Amino acid sequence: MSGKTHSGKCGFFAVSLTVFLCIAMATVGIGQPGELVLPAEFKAIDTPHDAGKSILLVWSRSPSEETRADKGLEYVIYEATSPEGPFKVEEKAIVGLEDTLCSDAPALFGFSPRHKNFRFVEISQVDEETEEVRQHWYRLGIRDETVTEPVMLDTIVTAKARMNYFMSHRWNTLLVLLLMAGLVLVCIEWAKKHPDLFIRKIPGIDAVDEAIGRATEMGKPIMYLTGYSDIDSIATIASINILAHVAKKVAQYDSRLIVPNKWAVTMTLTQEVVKQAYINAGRPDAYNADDIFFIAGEQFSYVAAVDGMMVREKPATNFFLGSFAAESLLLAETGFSIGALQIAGTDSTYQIPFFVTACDYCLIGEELYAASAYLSREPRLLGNLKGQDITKIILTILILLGSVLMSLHVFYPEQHWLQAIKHFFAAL
Amino acid sequence: MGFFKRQLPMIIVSVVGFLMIVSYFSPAPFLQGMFTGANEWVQIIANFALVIGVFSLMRAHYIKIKRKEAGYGYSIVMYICLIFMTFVGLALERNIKSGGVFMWMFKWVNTPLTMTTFSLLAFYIASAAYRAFRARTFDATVMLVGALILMIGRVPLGAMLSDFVHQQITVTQIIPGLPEMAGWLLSVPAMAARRAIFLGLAVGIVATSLRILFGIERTYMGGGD
Repeated sequence: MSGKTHSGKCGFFAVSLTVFLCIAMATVGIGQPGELVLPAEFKAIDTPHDAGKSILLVWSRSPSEETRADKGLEYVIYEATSPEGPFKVEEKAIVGLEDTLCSDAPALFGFSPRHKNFRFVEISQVDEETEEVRQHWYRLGIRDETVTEPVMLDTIVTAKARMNYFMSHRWNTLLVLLLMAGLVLVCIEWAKKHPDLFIRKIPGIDAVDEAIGRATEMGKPIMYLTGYSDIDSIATIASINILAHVAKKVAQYDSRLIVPNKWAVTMTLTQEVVKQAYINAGRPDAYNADDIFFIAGEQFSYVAAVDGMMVREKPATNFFLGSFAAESLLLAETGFSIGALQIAGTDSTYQIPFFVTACDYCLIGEELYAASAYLSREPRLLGNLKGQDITKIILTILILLGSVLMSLHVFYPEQHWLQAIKHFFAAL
Repeated sequence: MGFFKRQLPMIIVSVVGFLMIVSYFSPAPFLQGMFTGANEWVQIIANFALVIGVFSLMRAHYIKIKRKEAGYGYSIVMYICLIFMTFVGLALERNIKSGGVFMWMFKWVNTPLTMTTFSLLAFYIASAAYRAFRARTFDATVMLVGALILMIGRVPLGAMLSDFVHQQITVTQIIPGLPEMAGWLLSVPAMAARRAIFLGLAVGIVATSLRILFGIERTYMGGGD
């Protein structure tokens, strides 16, 4: 009786233990790799718009992502040099659950509601030793912290990395560029026939004559700075274009022009431009190459030297035109302290408030680029300016339209064409 | 002669410029290689030009010393520093390293001097702000109020002040705190103005580039009007 009772107790204990272990194992998932559900789809494609050096591996999201995300679920890519293997784990190709959705890379995959169900990884096909492009074969595995070995998908995929001659995701930029180039050319032709184009007044540029005249009357020099950037900056080129006009006026007024440069290349160019301007003004004898010189490539050494020069030479007029950084206020305030009339213009939005505060006139934004055309009144340049204005109007209309459509997307989120429009504007 | 001075540089600028644009739209290795190569050329030319620049600097200071112009003593200091650093860099320390004289001079002489110049900005900002924020006109008053909200709202004092006022006078809780106001000023009106300027700048840059590429703008080559 007692033995029976004992065996009954043992049986109950064994059953309880088994049930408990089953529940525990089901909860933790130890030794049950079968519970990791493999992706239904796995494929390899050539990376669009690259130079034929990589491919994309794309797979559908495993349903386990929903249930096992907190257990460090990740995908493992295995690579082999032949379809037969052996496949080895690529260090770069262990893919977590962050930032690898196809929907996060519209430049590669475009827009589709399906893309949020797929993940991808870009794999280089370039051999690190030989630097040659070689074809590889891939398998996909899935694992989390509850399994020791990844569960493998049987599918073996490969793709050939092909050269793409056009970056198709930049078509919108190309479209706008062609539109603008076309408009500019049309407007130039139009301006040749209608040279009396209306250009709104830009007080900062109108003041150039007054500024040079003032310096001449006071018998003091004019200082012209082309900014912080070298000649590879468009703002510097725009500044040098304005310098040519200023130098010509200075030569005509028989005043003195000082151009301290931060870059040696800019120095040689400004020397050439000023020299030519003096020749054009019929005053080659008045040109003094020693007034156009190099100071220092280091930002604050340049500032210290220019500030010192301002205090000693006391120029009647200062021009600060080009790209400027932290030195803008150091220069403009020193110029203000010596009572110089100051005209500034920069493409750096952070420096515009400083120039507005410390200078008499400030060219804001594209006025810096328009100044050369404004000063020369040359029909072709004015035509270019008109083309620029029309492009700006078109872009403004597009932005307004984009804003309306984006607002509509909030109310109609299922309309994916609205999202495609967002991508068009975001990538522009 | 005119061809070499005008047309040839113009052709080089246009061809290279258009190839640079094409390289933005195509990943073809020869175009990308050309793009990288062109950038390397810029560095090489800049280094050669630096020699010309140094000679220009020496000449400018030589003239000052010769004419004994105002502050010519600084020109002598410049010559001493230039010769000393060149001697240390080329003759004494062929391999410039962190423990050497060259780097010591750079770290303990050049850097403090440049930082001193930079620190002047704090005083200049104060004097410029004083002028800009004098509430003489309606615009200046708006700017002054905006600046005050921004300055106080971006420091802990602003949040403390807002919390204090909200706790003491319950009705004021409907008014956003200073940090929120500062954040709104930065992210809405200021950002809108910046983006408008950015748009103008971007279009201006493209238009100027097209002028140069089409050969309409030649002033930067010394062509004059």
